[in-house]
Amino acid sequence: MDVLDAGRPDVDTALAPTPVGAPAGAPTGPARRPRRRAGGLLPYWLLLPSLVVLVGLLAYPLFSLVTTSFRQLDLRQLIRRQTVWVGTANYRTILRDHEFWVITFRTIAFALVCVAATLLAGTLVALLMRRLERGMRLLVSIGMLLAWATPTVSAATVFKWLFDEQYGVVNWLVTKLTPVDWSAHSWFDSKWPAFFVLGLCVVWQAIPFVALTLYAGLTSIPDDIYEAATIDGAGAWRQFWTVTRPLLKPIFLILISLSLIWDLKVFSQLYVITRGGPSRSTLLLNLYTYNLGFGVSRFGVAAAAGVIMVVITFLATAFYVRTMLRVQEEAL
Amino acid sequence: MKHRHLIAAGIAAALLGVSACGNSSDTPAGNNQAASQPKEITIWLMNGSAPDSVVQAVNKEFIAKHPGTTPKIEIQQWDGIQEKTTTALAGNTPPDVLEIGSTLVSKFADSGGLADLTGKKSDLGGDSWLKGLTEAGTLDGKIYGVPYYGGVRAVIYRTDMFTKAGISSPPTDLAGFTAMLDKLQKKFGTDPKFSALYFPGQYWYAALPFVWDEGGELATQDGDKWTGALDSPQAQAGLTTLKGLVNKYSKAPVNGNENDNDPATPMGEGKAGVIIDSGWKVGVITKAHPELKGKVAVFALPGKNPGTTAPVFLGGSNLAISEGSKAPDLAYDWLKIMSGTTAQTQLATDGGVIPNSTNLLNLHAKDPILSVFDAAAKNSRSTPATPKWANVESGTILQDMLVAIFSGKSTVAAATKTASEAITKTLNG
Amino acid sequence: MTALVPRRRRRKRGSVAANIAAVLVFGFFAFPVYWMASTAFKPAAQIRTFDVKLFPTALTLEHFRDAFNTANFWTFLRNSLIVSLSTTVLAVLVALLAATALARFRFRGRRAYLIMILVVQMVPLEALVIPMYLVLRDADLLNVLPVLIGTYMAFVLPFTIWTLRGFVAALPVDLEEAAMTDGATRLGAFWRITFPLMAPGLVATGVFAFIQAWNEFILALTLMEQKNQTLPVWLGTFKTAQGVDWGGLMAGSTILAIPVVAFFLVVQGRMTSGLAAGAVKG
Repeated sequence: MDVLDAGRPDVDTALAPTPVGAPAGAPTGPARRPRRRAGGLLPYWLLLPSLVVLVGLLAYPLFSLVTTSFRQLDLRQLIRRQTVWVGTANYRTILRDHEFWVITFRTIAFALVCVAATLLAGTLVALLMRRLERGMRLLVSIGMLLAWATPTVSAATVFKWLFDEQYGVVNWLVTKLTPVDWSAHSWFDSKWPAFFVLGLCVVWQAIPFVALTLYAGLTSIPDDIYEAATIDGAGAWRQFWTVTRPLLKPIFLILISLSLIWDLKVFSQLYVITRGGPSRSTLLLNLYTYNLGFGVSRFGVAAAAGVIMVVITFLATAFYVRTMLRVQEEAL
Repeated sequence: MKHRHLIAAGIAAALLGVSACGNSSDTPAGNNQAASQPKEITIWLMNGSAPDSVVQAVNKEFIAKHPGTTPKIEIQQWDGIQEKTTTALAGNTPPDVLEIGSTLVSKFADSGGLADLTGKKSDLGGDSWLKGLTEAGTLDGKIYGVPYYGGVRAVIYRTDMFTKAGISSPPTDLAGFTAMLDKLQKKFGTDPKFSALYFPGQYWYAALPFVWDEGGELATQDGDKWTGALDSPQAQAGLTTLKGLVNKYSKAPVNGNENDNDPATPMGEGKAGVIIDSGWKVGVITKAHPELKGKVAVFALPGKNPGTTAPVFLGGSNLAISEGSKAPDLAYDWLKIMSGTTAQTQLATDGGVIPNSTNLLNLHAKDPILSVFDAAAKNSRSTPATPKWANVESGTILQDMLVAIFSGKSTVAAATKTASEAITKTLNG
Repeated sequence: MTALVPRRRRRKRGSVAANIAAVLVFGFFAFPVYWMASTAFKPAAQIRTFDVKLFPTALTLEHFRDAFNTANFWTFLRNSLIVSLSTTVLAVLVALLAATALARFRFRGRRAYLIMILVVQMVPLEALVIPMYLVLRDADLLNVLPVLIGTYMAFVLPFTIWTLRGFVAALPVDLEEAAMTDGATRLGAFWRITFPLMAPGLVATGVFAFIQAWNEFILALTLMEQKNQTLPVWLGTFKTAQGVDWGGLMAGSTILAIPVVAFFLVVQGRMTSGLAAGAVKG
């Protein structure tokens, strides 16, 4: 992610600091088909270490998650190490719970809003970076790196502090700079302001990755194309729509897919900032599942909720993932 | 070479990894040794509960009795303790002795993770134990948690502020309490941040006395079935009274709780007339504001009827031995010392908490502050001693109800009905 | 290329409007971080006050001292460093091998593998905590630090492999071939030519892996006992008996953030120059 070197001619053509997942050869330079050899057994050996780790420490627990979802695993069974099979009872418990559906809808809506905000802001920042001199571009990059590098728990804590009802600096600034008196304004008393703070925290940390990836992609588009468009009389917006967007489509697709997957899973910020309150109105799926486990110690039900959550994520992102895979047919 | 430092980093990391391997693999192997005389036992104590002096004395006595064994104390934070206790008790190397909050003992006892200590009751002097803590530590007639120490809440105030407001003596009934708040509000209320009564909305421990004083209950038990009882007329009356007080006199965040919005802070800053809090908070106030030393006093929360005090919540902790402990006898010996008269006396004097035995309740007789708390403890209650109660707490049912009531989002009737139904579902579920 | 850039284009860079926007954007991202650090250095009296000071008028190290003195802080720090660095190095290595296989070779199961690592990212970590706990408990591997490293690797690998695959695929195979005709072995060519060119990809994925491992909280809390736990656990349960100590919490957050930010900035700088040098010479 070398923001400073993107734009240097040799790097552009020789390398195209390839944005995540973009097929080799597009959108820049000589259309190069990735040459792949049939390697006999070598590729399998290369894949072996990753397979061992992934199967042992990810696939196996995933399998265990599914089997646990068919067990009654409350604290008693957990500590006494009993195995009690209850069939689909856990799934029925969840799917019949009205609150579950409310929370699911809420989680999807929240994720969509965050993804949209992140993509929009990220695109704008990337476009801005294109128009900056090296020094200012470095300034923006450093700002974003600071936000991105901050640990999620730290960021959530800071945002909670920024919007503190009594001593927070946001209330203080608003009171000082506007006629509005917010000296005791609560951001966490009701769900909309709470969601605002939560969303802001999530998006604040999500923009850098999107902006930097898009910027890397933008710099791989040669200036000539824009030049030609300008000569043809196209304004900035039209250029974006007809030149930039199609060329960056693969990058957009993968950014949307990843962002959606990540934002559906939001947990740490929620745990720190509102913990689902007030009155469970900001509760999202991941925390709901966690509470079923470590809150009320119903680990079997929690496992079922976990499985359902994976399915929901899959369904929600299926469209984008499929489109992305199709666009990358060649690369795959 | 540009990538030299990469290689160096890789080797360093590998070495670190190997050395970490070497260190931590001792743990499982070590615990599988012959369990005859383990070199150490692990004890979990909660942050802030016992002063160092007490712990040192207990350890000293224990080592004198068992020279080959070291008692290792691990201090735990309250935040996230339910999860930690769960994973520890379910794991292969649980702590030998652990301090558990009184309202949580039932849950872990029911799970089978704690050792049954019923047979040791007389050996431990169990006949003089505080009733509330004993109930909390008992499940189905068996004792799993030995009373460790207790704590109640009372009304803390500043004598200088009372003098300024023209209040000569603490109120003796609820009507007097309200009148007192009125005087405080009149005198100091010009400051928009002043609360005659500073009461964060989620502070359910301090809300319980109002329910109990009216004769209301959290839940009633009929055989095996529990029913949430907060929607009874009595409980509703108590909560309505409290709502009146909070809405009129408290500027504390309605969505806040007593940890994030510590009442001791505004009291020290003169922004609160009275607060309902525990004994050790007095020390917190005078430590932050040394000029207030001697100016902070306490009285028990008065009841509705003149001359009575409202029943207060008896919090505190119990000590338990894990069922999976590899050294239950050693664990028992340590527990016996800590819950014994000598340690308890020191705990009460040095720590300012309520000791586990009624025999020792006179220890604070000379202390103007602690004696008030001890007296209030005589009229104290606890939460339903059932395993699922812990889920009511982690499900924030009471907190949500209070916030809905105080913020006006629900009527008292509606909020208590929701809460009662949720409690019924959770306790029986 | 520079000669071809029309005047119009060059004037657009560095315009006043763009620079103002740049400053605002920087402010948006940097302010919360500044606020975290400044609160960490403010004396307690300046924190819990209605008279908020944008710039601390007095500085104190008391919050940091308190943080350093909390029980086990240095143990947690050591654990965090060991785990995060090991995860990063191992994950990048393993991912590089896998990425090379995926990008450079044709073989059966390639597509399936790719789809698998994409799908696997949909599983939320928190949902797998209990199954992992059960699996490890039965294998008596609880509270073993290398296991934590292994689980972190498992969670970072999918994204890391995916990213590196893109980078490897973008590298021209001809370079290696050219080097080999000059007499270098395939391995030598890979090491001398291809590997340095992948630097930005390795850096990007290394940083990603480090951040994920450094920040992880739930698994460390659940699978490890106190002496093997990490800094985020320490921060997450950092509440004094007197409630929330914002100064201490901000100091703790700053401490948690510093290594990551430093790592980021240092590595970014080094690799940039390395890459530039390599590209110009090449």
